[in-house]
Amino acid sequence: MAVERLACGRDPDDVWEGLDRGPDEHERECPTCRAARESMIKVRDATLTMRERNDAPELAPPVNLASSIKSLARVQVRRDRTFSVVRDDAGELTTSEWAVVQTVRRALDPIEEIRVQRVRISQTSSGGLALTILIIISFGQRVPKVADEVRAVAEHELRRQLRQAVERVDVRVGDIREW
Amino acid sequence: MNGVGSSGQDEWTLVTRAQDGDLEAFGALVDHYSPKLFRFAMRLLFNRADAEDAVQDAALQAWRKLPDLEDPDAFSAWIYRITRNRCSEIQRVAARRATDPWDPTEMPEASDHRPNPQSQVETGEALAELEQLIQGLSDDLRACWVLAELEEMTYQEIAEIVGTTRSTVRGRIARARAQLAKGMAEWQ
Repeated sequence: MAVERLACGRDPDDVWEGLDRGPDEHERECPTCRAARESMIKVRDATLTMRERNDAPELAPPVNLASSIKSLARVQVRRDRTFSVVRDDAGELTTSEWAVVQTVRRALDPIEEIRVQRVRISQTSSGGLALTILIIISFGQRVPKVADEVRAVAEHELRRQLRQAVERVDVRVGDIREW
Repeated sequence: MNGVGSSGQDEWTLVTRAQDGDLEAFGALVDHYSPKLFRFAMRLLFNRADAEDAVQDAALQAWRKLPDLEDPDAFSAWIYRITRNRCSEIQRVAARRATDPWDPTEMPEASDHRPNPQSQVETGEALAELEQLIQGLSDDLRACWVLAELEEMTYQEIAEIVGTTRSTVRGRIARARAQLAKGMAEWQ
């Protein structure tokens, strides 16, 4: 829906855009444009004042807003599945999904050619661990080589830290970027 | 990729970690965004308690739905959109509840935004007048105008937040401006 033009045919958007410069010849002569400029200047100036007050106390949140959000988020734990890591005569070791995700993320951190976007864990039908790692790769890399490295590092680290053999690791490349 | 938080971690990293369940990463996002979202909500709702509820609800909804966000770079527009929708919902409930829109006991706190006595009287009064006029805008026009003029977002960003096209955003801002200009002209 377009804005109505002024009585003289001018587009109000053009008048607004031209506020910073002085009025042009038409605007000097035309009473409609003169009035429009005058009222728009009031809007512009008062708006600037409002913008300058963005940091005013009346617009600042209550001091505990951020902390109450965080406390409530903590209570709403989204995923905390546990996985059986080792089961032998001595007993069973389980680990949380979070521990597995963190282990994988930390292990992959030093690899400069990639950024880890997501790590998803699931359990295969035989009870083994399956990983899906979504990464973005920096421009110019050989994708299969990088994917293999990611897979190898993730598998090695999980075996080392959690004594967990991973049954399956899917590496998905979500994007290729320059950084 | 923007830098966020004291650790200087970029937003993409914080969002993707939060998507995997990292509460600390989510906390950094909350610290960064809650003041801006609160300010935005205040300009839509004119009421501190409502704005607080809006931001809290929006942030927790974001936490629950974060895993579904496909593009981590879209986080800002996404959370502003959730906040805006929450504000609209609060307004709808408030409108149904109010028996008389002009009942002084229901009067939004805009009337408490009295100009600073130290500031130029003229500036203060013009500001107060503009605030009243902004409050009189329709929900759609006000949201677009606030995001453009007070949060200085691009039409593209606003379009993503309100869920429409750039040209619709442009039209709404132009109509808002026309209404505000008319109001300011009639004021003095």
